[in-house]
Amino acid sequence: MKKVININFQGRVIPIEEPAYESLKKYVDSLRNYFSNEEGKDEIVNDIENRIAELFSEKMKAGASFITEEHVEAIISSMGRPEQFDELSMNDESSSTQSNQYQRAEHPRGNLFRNANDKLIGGVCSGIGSYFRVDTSIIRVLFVLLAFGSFGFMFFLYVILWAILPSKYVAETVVRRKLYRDADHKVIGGVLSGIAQYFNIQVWIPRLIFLLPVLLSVFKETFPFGFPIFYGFSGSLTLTYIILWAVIPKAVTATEKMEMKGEKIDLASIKNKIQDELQGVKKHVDENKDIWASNIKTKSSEFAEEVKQTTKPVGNWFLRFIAAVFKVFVFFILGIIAVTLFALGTAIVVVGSALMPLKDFMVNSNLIQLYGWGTVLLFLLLPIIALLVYFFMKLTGMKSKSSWLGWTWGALWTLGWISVTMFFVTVSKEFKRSGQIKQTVQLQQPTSGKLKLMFTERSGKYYPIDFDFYNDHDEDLEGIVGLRLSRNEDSLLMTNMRIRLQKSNDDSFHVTIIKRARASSTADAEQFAEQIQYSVEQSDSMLNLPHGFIVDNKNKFRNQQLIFVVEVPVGKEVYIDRKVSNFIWFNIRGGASGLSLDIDEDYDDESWRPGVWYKMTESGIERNGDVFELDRPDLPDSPIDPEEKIERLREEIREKEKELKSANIKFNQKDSTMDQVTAPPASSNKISSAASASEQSASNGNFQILFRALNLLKLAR
Amino acid sequence: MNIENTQSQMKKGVLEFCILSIIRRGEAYPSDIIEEMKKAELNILEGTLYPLLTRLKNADLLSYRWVESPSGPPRKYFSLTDKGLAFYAELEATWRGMAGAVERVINTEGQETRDEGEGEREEREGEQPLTVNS
Repeated sequence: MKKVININFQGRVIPIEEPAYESLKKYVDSLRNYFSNEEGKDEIVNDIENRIAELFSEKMKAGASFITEEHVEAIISSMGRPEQFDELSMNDESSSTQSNQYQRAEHPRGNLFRNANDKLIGGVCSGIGSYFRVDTSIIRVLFVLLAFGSFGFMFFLYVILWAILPSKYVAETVVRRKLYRDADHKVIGGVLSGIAQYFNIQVWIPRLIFLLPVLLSVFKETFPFGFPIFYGFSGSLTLTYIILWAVIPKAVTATEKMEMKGEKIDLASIKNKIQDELQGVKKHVDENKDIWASNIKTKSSEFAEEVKQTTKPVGNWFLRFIAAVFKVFVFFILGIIAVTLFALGTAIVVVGSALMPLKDFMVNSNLIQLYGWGTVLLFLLLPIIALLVYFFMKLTGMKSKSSWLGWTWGALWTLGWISVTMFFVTVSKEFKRSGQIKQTVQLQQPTSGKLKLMFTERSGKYYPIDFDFYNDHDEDLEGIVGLRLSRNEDSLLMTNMRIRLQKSNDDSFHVTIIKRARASSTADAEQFAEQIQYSVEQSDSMLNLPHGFIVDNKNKFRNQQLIFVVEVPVGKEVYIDRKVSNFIWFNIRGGASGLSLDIDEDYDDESWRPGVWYKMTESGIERNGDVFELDRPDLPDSPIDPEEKIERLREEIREKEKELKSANIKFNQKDSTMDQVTAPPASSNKISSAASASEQSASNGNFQILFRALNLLKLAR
Repeated sequence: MNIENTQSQMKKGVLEFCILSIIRRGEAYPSDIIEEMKKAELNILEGTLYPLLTRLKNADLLSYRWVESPSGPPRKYFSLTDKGLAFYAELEATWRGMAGAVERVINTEGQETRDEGEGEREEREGEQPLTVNS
């Protein structure tokens, strides 16, 4: 059963079988290619088409109701294939040395040529493909993979091969077998069964290879994304499967099914072929040394000619050459962009999956969840997949038969855009209004007239959100914006805290905690603020503050902030623990213009420094001498025992170490784009700035990838 | 150096001349030309004829006119231009001279191997045209 279609051929409607039409089309294309350098090529091809049309009408007159493959074959063999033209070609000497030569397809072992009939750039890959009688698509895919793997080495190899290999018109690439999807034995799309046919192996082998990582990840307890498809290798295999599904044609006709099973290809036969080849080449070299020497000159001019022909537009030789180089360059750049986008996508997925535990803290409606998934899948992943598919199709010279693929991409991506817009609109609504409540801490006045604010670590395990998959030493990592998650991921430890020193209106210390949050309405925001859990302990002059406050996932994350206002009466002294420099201050604001995020990772209040005693005067706080507290053992109200002193010294050493480490990191990253990514925080306090820079550089590893990718994009543009 | 190559070179050389000769006898349609060539056992492919005709036409040696055909699209009928006629005349002269020369060379070699005489060769070459013409 074959489909019969009507075609308009030389102004006549001809009913023709579809496979017959395909071979007719191929034939005419091969003629067009063959005569492409000929003056009046259109006329020649037109004349031949005209004659074919006449022969068709004769067949129809003789009683055929439509044109069959046999008819077309007979006509083609009487007209002759381009490979048979050569003997009668009337080209004169000069043109026959040009690229208009032809390699006979039935030639037992041809030399390696570039295939001028089937080329994307120079026909190198398709030449190799026809030489080894392997599907050109496979050579191209391998070439591209190797090109990216070898950092451009293959690219230069390509250019070299382009320059040294002669060009030939190989009418039809003789392929032993072709890669098709096997629809008869399919489970999903028949991709794996097609691969099995191609390599002549049992179908369960590729299936197992593809399924194994998926199965493994199913047995893993946790999916960072709640969706095994994103899990490492299995994710990329799934992606590969989808791409292969999209680009490999399905074997429909008998011929295609034959080609799918085709001649056996195995490693041994390839090896034999290469060995034969090498011997042949050696012999060839011995025989032709002299001829080659004299040919070099002709060859180089041939190459110039070829480069000229690569680009059609009229211009002088030099311009054409530039254009050809430019074409290669554009392909190269496009490749870089594709890789960059891929890296960008991976970075987004990595950062996204690290942020995933925060999802429960953000989301308070199914709508946001829906938009979030829409954004991730349709807005971020879809273009990457589409781009990969595009490149694959471009490489394999495949063309989508209908436009539905494009429309589907377009429609889905539009949905992605809607999702991303709605996502940001709904999320920023959640951060629109600010609300705060004040809470006064009942304070016993310290007998010494000095108040010391110390920070104690929170009990219970809290882990930084790990962005840096490549970094193992995360004990000194603060994680992004100082958020830490509890082990079971149900509560969040935030250090979004500030301390404000003020002059007291009376002669006693006062401590007020201002809790802030954001929400869609002020009332809601106040409610969120109220739910911040924070309590203070006092023992005479020591005020013990927990390092950070807790937000659990019922309360959601709504940019909670905590400001600790300490009112110091005139003449009294205050001291703030150095750990305050670990605090990170950020602000997420939502509004009509969307979300904005300011991060101040470095705690620097201009008026005071941690680890120093201050005295309140009428005009404000004043530093109590230029020395650190630990250098003043004579302070009567804060006696320092030797152990505490040792502890302090240790802390100082640790701080120095940190500084050194960060200096190291900075040194290592001098060449990177680090400087552009995060401007070093300006601070008078060197120690704290260095420390926070080290945290920043480590935790921002993935952001760096992202920004590097963006920079690459900029360069590419 | 392979035999096919040489053969096709030889064929190439005379093909143009033969085609012009057929057209000279009267307006000709490409498939008529093919038929006539076949009869003379000079097989060529139709696919090679069209480019050749186009080239000759572009060189102003041929002209054509469209003739309605009962079956299928209109046909191109080719005829020689004045320039083509002159071109043909010159080719013919060359051919006649060359055919004679080639024959002479071939026959000389044949006799030479039979006689195994070297000194007489030059004299014989002089005599050759007579035997060819007779």
